[in-house]
Amino acid sequence: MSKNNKLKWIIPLVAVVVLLVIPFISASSYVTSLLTSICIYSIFAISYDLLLGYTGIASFGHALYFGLGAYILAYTTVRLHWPVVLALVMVLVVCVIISFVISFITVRVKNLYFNMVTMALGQLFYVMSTKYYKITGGDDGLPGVKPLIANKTGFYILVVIILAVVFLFCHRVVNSPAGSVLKAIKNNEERTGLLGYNVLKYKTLIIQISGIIAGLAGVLYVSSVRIAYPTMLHSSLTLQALFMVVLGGTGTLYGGVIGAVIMKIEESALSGITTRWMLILGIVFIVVILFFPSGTAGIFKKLASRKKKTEQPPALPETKP
Amino acid sequence: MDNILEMNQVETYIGQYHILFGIDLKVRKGGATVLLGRNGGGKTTTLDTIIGLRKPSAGTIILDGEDVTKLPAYEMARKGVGYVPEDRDIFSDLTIEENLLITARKNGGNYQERLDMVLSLFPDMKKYFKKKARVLSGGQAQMLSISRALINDNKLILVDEPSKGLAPLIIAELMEKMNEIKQETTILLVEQNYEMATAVGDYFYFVEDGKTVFECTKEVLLQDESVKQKYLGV
Repeated sequence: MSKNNKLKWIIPLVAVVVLLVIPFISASSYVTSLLTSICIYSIFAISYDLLLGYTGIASFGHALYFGLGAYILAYTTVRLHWPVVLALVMVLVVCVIISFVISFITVRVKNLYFNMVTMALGQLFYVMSTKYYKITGGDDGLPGVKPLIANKTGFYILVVIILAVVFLFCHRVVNSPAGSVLKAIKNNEERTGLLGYNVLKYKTLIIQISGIIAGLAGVLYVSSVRIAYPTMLHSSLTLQALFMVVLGGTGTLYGGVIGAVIMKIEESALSGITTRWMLILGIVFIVVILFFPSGTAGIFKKLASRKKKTEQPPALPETKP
Repeated sequence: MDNILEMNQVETYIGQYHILFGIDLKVRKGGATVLLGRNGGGKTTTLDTIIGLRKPSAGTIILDGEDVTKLPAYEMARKGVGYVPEDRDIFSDLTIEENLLITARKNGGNYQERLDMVLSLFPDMKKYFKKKARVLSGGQAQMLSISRALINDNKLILVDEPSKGLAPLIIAELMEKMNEIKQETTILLVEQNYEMATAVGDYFYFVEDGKTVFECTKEVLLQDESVKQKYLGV
């Protein structure tokens, strides 16, 4: 294994160990709650990066899966008194079915039309969650959700482990042959079809994988806050995922984690000082877009590639007719 | 069966615009058949229609005896039709190796053999093998685009204006390579560069206003000045 490859694995490994150790060093339950929230949002952001960063799909309705995961766990365990395992199977089944139906409707349209259709479908579920009071509890939501693990630290450790597993799984996906096809689709969809790949099938597949991971994030979130509420389905949550991925760096996976860390710490720090903390986050977003379009990960990459640049052989000049 | 591809009275619309009004074409197995004609005549649309990027509104397309008129692009690729588009369309975020691998996966088995052949044909690809395709110059990008079509054992390769935007020296090299490639497979070439077209082509079709208006052998084209004058304005 080369030095660079070793480093590539050492950093996440150290990060996981540090995350696992923190609750035992810090006695503050606030820190544990904040870290739990960061890890859950990281999972959600990673799922969005699979779409945006690797396949070039900008969905504005991604929160739909997050909310579905949350509501299904809440409804099946609180109202139907199902065991958690059965509820989790239900989340998986529903996320697979809904993501298939949604991808079937949306993958045939591109760009702005795709954005609009996904937003409309996401908002449809949001509105339904506020109107079907008997099932969803309307604006009051569905309270009384039991956490997957009653002990706060235990639940936090579970979330960290799930984050690590999701990261590893997504890393395998994007570095597999299918991952190369996804990157090719992002580069040039039409051309990828010309190579013999059924582009719609690949897009459907990644929307499903991403939807299941987002649903899992929703399950963990509802288990953490113990109530499912309509905002979990709202497009503003999708925009948060977009914000985290762009802030951290698209097409990197760890960019989503960095974005979640920055956003949640900023939110936690600023919301205590001012009620207008969203405004400050907005300004940060604009600065990142203007000056660091590749996000925080892009800055690291640039610094790392500066050294390599001199080794690269020069390309022949482009000749115009 | 002598013909690898036949088009019979093929008509195609792009949106509301009627572009092809009746393309009749027979591409013989082996060698290079060239589509010639003025800009806007429908040559690229003909290739797009064959590969399945545009659906014909009338007519039939027969590939190696099989009706492929309505097949989508990915199925045409699986049937062994490679496409080198005019704008190259390489995947700039992938390395040269990944560009070739992603194309070769449908090939099933003899990747290494084909890769050796491609790298011996285009040594520059070996030099930049692990680099992102975005570092390539125009000529090298064209070589990569052709390499991708060759990495599979395709029975027919459609090549759209490979000389476009390239320096004369690189065009000369490309002509040489195309002549080597046509020993391996069948080429259907669209080319504006008369020199390149005649250096590579064996049989020629002239496309004008969406129709094939004339066809001839290389000998006729080279010797009959009236043909050049009438259809190419040379």
